[in-house]
Amino acid sequence: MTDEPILKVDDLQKHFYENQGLLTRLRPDQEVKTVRAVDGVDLTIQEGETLGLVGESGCGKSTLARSVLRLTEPTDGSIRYRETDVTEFSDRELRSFRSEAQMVFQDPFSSLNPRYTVRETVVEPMKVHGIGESSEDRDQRARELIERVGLDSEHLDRYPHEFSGGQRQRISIARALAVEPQVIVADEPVSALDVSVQMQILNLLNELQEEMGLTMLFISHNLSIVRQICDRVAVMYLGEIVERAETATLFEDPKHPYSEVLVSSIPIPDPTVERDNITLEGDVPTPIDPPSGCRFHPRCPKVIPPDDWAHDQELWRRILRLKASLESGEVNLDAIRSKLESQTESPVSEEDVKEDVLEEYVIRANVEGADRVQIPPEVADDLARALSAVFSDDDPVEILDRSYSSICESTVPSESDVSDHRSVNCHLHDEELKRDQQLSTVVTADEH
Amino acid sequence: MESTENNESEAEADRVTHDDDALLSVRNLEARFDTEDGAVRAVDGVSLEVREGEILGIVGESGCGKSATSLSIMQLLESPGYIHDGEVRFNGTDLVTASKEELRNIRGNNISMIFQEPMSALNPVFDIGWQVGEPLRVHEDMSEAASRERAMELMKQVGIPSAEDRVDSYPHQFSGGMAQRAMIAMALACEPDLLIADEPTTSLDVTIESQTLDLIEKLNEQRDMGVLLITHNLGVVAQVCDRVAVMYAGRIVEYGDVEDIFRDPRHPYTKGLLDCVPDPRRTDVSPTSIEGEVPDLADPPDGCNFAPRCQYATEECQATDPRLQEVETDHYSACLWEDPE
Repeated sequence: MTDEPILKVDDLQKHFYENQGLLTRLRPDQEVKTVRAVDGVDLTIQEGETLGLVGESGCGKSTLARSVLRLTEPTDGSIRYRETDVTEFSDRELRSFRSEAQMVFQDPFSSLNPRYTVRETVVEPMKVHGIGESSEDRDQRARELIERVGLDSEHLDRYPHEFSGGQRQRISIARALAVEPQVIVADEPVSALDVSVQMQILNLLNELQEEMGLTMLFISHNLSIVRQICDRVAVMYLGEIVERAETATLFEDPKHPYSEVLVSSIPIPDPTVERDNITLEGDVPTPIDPPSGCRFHPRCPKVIPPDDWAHDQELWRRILRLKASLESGEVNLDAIRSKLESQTESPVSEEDVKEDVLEEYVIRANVEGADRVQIPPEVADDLARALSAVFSDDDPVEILDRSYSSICESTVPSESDVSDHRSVNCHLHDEELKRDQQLSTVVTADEH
Repeated sequence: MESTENNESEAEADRVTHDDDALLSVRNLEARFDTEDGAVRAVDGVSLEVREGEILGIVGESGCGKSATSLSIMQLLESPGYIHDGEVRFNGTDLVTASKEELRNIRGNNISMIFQEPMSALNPVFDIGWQVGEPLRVHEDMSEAASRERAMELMKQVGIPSAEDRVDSYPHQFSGGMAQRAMIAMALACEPDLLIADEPTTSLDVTIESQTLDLIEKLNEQRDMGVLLITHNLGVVAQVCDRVAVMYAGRIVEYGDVEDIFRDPRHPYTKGLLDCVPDPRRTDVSPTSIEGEVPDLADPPDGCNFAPRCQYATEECQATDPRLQEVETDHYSACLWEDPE
């Protein structure tokens, strides 16, 4: 028994390139866009454990899973399987690695070959990897596997279309197990299934894992499912891991604000409970041009205000949002002006336009369901000055940055260990930062 | 045989729909699909009511007929599906027998609908403002410019940022969550009395899902708009619905107040389904699954559709086809046993 992990992923990156056709490359004015799907991920999986990887669609979790098995070529970083580096495998080594590590896919309707019977589906990988001494032996193994995953050996000569979703997923699992792998990467294996069969498949995976000592990387967007099956969980947001923890700890006491949101959004099947789930504003940003600093800061309910901030958190968040919208050019003053002009049918002053921007981004009076906030006079002055800058071709963001900037925007949070097997990438939990702040409060206290 | 069965579902319709002021009253609705194996009864005598200002959920697993029910209500069922029998009464009009002209006046105006995949429900070649404003041009004779203006206001109300700018965007420039908001804005354009939402959050991420559900809930409260919400997710039902109809194999098997049904489910299928949903507050019980498979609707079992999977089933269950009976005030269950346990 060693503490060496069975799989160790270091600084893994997978970038995709948009617009890299010949014509774009010949035109210097066209930029090649880089999609940073996986952007520097470290992971370790111990032998025999199930590691869950959770995150929303587009966060890069499937790309990460595929890169780990080299189903897509990683851009950079290393993947160590036992003593070997997967990224440096030759084609032959890669093939033998595939008999050690197998994948179960999300959609059992498209991941099975419709022209193969169940028998052919399960026997094929054995043939490829030279498992079984004769075709009779392989046949016998296929029969055992199919029975082991809860189907009947009568089913061996049927085709995928004759099965329900849950049964097909059982076939996919049998196919993955056919090569006697050590590691299973399961990418959303139950999300295409009805709730009444999801637990059947999860229980099957759990049993098989214990019986065969499998190590599993389990990818899901559904936290309730992760909780049922995983020993540890890594939470992913926009290409990065933001928190790692043991499953029970994560659910009881999530540290990263994003994990908190995910945990709070797990549906509670009880209509009498008034839910206090945290609603995130906005969408997941694009991994083409991820936000600066902490990638979660534009949506973070706990984004850290400047030290001298005396007003409420909501107002602070909305100012940040206004700043981001100004920066991205999302605020279109001409469009607002022409809208106001057509409404009032008279010329519209700069002040009116400014007021409308504040109404929409900060006060949010006309959005149904949004809470209104009051803008204190000193803040209103600053905002007015910044918005005036737009009209005089100055940079409003620079003006706002002077008194409204957050460490979350400027600095990438590093991974800090909260306790054993537990780390979080968030400035709120950044021990050094806390110490600095304590120091500075001590200093100011001394001055008094 | 056919006629006694029909009498029974008529009787069920009388028991279940009795509110004269109901916004929408569906009685004994039967939708069939013609297949090689004969006619499949996807919706097999469904009766329900949406009352004014309430959110009624229809919950069930894939293939249970919940989407076929919502499409039948809107008269949008396409071949090989057709409505075989039944009545869908909205504001005194039976939509099943209504003329195309009448339906055109109602759809998008008094009743509007949002779908599971907002991206495929939006037309890729028209900009968002044009699409959100379309119901206004059709039903309220608005000019192009006025409808665009109003579209922008609607987009703001549903929380689309920079609506002035976004009104000229095309669907591909929208994310899934934003596209669903645009769909909702479009559905609200003519201030409908009833919104039918067919799995409105299923293709969305959890964080976007709760935004969208919050919005639907708030619109329901503020505008007193009835909502028929179709979903496979009991968590969503618990969060937003006032009443719920649980569907299994083309039938409603349990129907009533959400709190009653979650507290005291009477139909074994509802119990089973509730046990499949993990409760984040309880780690001592793990969720279970329902053994067996959904029956083939082309060849449904004799007796109760759920009997082959039901742990409480007796011989009687395999012989008798149960219909909804009132088990407590305004709570109906289609099980032979009032309380199977």
